[in-house]
Amino acid sequence: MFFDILMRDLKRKKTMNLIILLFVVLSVMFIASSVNNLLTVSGSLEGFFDKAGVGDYIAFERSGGSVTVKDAAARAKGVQSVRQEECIFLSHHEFESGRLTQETQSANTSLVSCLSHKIQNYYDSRDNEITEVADGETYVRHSLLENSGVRVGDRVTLTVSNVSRTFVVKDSLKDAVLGSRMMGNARFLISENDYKAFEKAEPLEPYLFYITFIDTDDVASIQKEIMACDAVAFSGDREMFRFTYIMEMIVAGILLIVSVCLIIIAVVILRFTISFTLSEEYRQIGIMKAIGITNGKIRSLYLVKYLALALFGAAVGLALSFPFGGMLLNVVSESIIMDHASGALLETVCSAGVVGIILLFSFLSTRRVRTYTPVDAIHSGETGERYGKKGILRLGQKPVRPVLFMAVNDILSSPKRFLTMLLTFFVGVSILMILLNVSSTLQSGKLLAWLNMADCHAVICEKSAIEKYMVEDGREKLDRRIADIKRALREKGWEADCFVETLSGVQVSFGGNTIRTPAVEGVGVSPAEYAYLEGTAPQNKREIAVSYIIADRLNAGIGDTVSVITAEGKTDCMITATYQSMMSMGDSIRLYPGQTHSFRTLTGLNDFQIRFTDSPDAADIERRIGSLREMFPNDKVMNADGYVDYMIGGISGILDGVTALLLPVIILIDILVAVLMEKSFLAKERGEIAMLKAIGFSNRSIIVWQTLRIGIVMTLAVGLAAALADPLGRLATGGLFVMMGAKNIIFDADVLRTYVFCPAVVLAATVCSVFLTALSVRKVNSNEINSVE
Amino acid sequence: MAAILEVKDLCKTYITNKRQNNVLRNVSFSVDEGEMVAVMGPSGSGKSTLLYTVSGMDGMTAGEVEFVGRDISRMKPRELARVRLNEMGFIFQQMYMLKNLSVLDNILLPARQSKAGRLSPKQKLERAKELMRRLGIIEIADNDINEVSGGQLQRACICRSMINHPKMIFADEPTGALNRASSDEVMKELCAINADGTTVMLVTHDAKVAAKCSRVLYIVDGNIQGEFRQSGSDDRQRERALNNWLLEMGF
Repeated sequence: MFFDILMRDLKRKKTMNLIILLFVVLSVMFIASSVNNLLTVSGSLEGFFDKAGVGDYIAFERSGGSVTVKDAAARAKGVQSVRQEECIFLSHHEFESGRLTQETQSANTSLVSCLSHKIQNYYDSRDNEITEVADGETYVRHSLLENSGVRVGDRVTLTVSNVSRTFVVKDSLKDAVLGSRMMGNARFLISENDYKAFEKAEPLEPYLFYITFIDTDDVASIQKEIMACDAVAFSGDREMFRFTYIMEMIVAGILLIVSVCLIIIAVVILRFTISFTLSEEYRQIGIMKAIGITNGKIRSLYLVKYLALALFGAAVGLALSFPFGGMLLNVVSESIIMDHASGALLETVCSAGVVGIILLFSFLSTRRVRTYTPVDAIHSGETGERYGKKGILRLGQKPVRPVLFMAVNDILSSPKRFLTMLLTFFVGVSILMILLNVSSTLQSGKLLAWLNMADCHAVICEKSAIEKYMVEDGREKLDRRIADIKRALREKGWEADCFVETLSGVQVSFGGNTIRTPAVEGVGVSPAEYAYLEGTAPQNKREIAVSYIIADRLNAGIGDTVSVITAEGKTDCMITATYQSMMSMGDSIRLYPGQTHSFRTLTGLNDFQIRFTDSPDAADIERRIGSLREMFPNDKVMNADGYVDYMIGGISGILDGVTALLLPVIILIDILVAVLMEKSFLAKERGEIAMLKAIGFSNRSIIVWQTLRIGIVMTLAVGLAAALADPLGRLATGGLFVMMGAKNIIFDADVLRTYVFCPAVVLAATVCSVFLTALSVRKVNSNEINSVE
Repeated sequence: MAAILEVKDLCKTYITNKRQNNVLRNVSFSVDEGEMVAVMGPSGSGKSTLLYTVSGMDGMTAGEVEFVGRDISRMKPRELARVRLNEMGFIFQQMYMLKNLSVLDNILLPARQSKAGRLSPKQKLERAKELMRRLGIIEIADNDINEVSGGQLQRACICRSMINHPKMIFADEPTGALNRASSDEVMKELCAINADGTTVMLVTHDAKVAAKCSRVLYIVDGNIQGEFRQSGSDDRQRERALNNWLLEMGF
């Protein structure tokens, strides 16, 4: 009997069952593949780091420090071994290829390593350990190739100071420490002979760089000792370096959120469908009760159907999750060695979880069976419930078209009925808007403030070595260069400021806490030009601003006096402000300008920022940037938006890719929900439609009425999503930004794309699908009025 | 009187499970303006199908139906809808109304949908209220349809059918779901509407209802088997005469 009822129901409600099935398939596919991806990637990372032989603590150090990492390791407790390799930084942006354009050029400087100096194992794209690199060949990480458009087999020219060499890209490189997208500096692995050629560059010292692995039982001790190392640019434990792979997991993370939303939508729809089915089958239920079938038995009839749907959907979803999950993992497996062992089991567990959730909701939703009585069957359901709805609005003499009035009145009179739809549409559009907002913010010039940089109109990235300023008399050289640029701008008749930021490593102490952090110091720019979360900009050399993360780590606040040890000596400074910065994961302090006299110990320099002070309009700024490109043909000149994209290159691209993937998925979900709802409305309102036709309503009017209702709900959902996109975006992505160092998020939306184009596409697709579904009212004959229950 | 409805050789065939079911077979008759015609016959004889077909609610297989001189069999669905909205009124056995609207709004709805007459929304509202007053249900104007009795609801349906000043009202078992008292009230209103000049064609199996009509068509197996014209003004005599005739017809 169960089988008969199941088959009959599956046939009768084909569309509804198909839509529920699709939701189950999509939910299972997304959740199984994304959970598998997240767990496999995070699990594989530990194995990859072990296999590569990465130390417990990693430090990046420039040459010439007064206290080296090796010295610090010698003083630290629990150190078992210290491994160090020498690398050479390429001259700023001197990585060239026929395929590389101004747009695909990376903002970060790459470095060259030689295999014979290695302190870690490297792997090629097929996970084979690289044991030999031929002269004239190089290996480089996949993300650099992907972002720059360079392919395996292409030729690239690398330059260090006055030495240039051309290499053939042999294969992509799996590099545990420098392989993630988040790590700015990529490594070109070359042969010993080629490396020796670069060692002949003049000058060489500014380009030398050391990576040190320290194996230790006491990470805290080495962390403490390393604070004294003034040439350390960046250091951290394995955990921190594993965290840099977060961007490799971002697609899976977003898909996990989407799959949770899909499961919520699936159960909400399931609830609606079960309620609808039960209200349609009150007579059958009443008769079954009349002949003595128990509530439990009747409920199990329906549960069998949803169990069958859930099992079948889960099986299909699970089968699809393997290729889909494989596709997601493929992206990550270009960067790390994957451990695929747990995949199938994990995906099966996820699928079983979805089936369990669906069954639970089916069980809860079929509770309504208990409320039907045999009397319902005898009275054909006419117990007054049929006319139980109450109208909210009154037509009266309102100057409104009847179909519009009917549509609005229906929504207001039966809000519960439309709530499912509103929620589904809202969730889908919200996900899209949040992703688009984050993506456009990550490409916006306003993000300069989040990077703790002063606002500017244009940026000049010197193609010739910026490291030339990182020498004893670098300050004079930099001042001269700034003066040259300003003169060139003045000659064009433009009033403008030109400024640069220097980066150095400093030690800060307060109340027994001591930390090492990058210090930012502007050249040609006042601290007041930066954005602060609280307080006022430093006014003199005895005042500093600190990132809120540093303030937390020091347990210090505005007004506290901290000790700052720079290469120039120790100074007591009062904290006058806190700020946020996504540079160095939020770790930095801002010094009052003019404190660093010798640039030899700098760990880096940012690019030349230009701010026009004669108030040009947007078009004029773009024209000027065009002229700047002609004035500085050897350098890369960008506007502020382009510079932000260039600085954090790739992340917004990934988000755009995810959005492009999600847009059709969300449209599909909205269409499925809208069609399912419209189908059920049409079935329920067959009598009303027949009556309207009988009294002279045309098919067109009835179709418009049906379409308008869902169109209005969709528009409300879009409006609601637009109104809440900002707070929801903060809620959903705030954690990620906080991890990166920014806690005060202000999205810079691309209004046209986020709030007009994308919602319009979703709205149009959904309304069109409802319209096409509503066309079936033409099949309702007005003479059915007396035969409709 | 000129014929408002002229039906010639009307055929209606349904095909179910490859079996042909001829519900109406070459039916011909006409209804004059101002007439009140009842269609009677046993269950399954095709009474309701005849009503729906001649009113354009259902398509026909063959034949011609002229309403006010226009052949509705050649009309497009949109044109037919316009004719039903502006020139016909309908009353059904089930008092179907939109459940989210008040009684008054349900009555008003066809008027607001109609573009004929060029009345303002205010005038249309006044017309709806006037009809409700006339049929004695103005006190339920703002009620929801679940708050009124079956008789009141059927009178509201009559108001709805009258709102656009139709030339003809089609009623399918208008008293079928009502008790005797409500049934009498509804028929009284229909007779009054007819007395005001509106043509009425109704389907019923109740001789007491049919006796109020000036002419009765008797249909069996999709064919009109006979026609009975009423004479006299005494209700009891009319009913008795009709019952005798129906007995002769085998009803």
